[in-house]
Amino acid sequence: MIIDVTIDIFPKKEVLNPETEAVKKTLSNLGYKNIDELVLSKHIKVSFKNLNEEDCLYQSKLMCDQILVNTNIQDYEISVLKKD
Amino acid sequence: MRVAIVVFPGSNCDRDIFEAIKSISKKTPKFIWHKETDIENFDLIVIPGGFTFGDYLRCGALASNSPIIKSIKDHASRGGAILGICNGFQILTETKLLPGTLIRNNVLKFLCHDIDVIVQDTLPSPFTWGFKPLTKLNVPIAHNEGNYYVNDIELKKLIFNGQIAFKYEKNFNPNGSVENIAGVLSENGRILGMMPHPERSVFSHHNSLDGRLFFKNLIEQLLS
Repeated sequence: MIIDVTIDIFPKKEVLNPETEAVKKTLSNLGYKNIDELVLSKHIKVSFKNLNEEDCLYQSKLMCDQILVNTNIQDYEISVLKKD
Repeated sequence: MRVAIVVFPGSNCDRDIFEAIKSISKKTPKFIWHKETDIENFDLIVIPGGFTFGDYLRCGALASNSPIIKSIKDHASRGGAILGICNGFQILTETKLLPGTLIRNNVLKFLCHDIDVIVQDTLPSPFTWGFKPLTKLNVPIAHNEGNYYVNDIELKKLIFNGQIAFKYEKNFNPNGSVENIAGVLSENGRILGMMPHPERSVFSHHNSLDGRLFFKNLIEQLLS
């Protein structure tokens, strides 16, 4: 069985993200004046084989804490995308 | 004086460090490939600048999981001295040997120029030994992610403990670093991470010789 898990990594709100600010400013210059919040995130999809859903989520969390996410500056969300 | 220079795929300041330390200490540093797991004792381990693993994921993130890191952490736990410059600083924060994180320059540009940094009044450390606080050093920076970030609680700890080694001048903060920080020390003062490149101000063909003084003081202190 294959289980797809997605991991979204985004900057913590309290960390000023210059890249996000630059994109927001450019969109504003293009006339999009009603943007309240804009988040640039990193999207990772991992397909697991031969694991149950609980273990997939557990391993995804381990990966995030070990290397994928720098929790000083980033938060993350893990969700199960689909099961085959 | 035994110095190791750790080389990762994408390190590009390793030769500069080698030449700088060799010319000052008259001893030949040893290059250590990042896949090595069993290293001898060194007086100083240097993690040079570069773009390890192409800066993929985050700067220093992949390098901080290389096999050599365990030996570097063992060296740190024995109180061994470690110097991380630029990408080396990023690697040291990713390994959590130093607090904080280097994020993208607030100006969204790669910065490459000479700059003055000011030596701070720090806890006892071989890296600031010999400098009067507020001494200015002219050394180059060359980075895209040099914007040092720590949260307020961590920042207060750094200030209280005297762990801030170098600051940019107040009105010349090039990258948006919190508190104009250019370099920080570990809690025991034995590990330094810094964004400026002292190895690029060592020889007469460089714009300044202030990096030479930095290495001279460091080597003297490590030998004493």
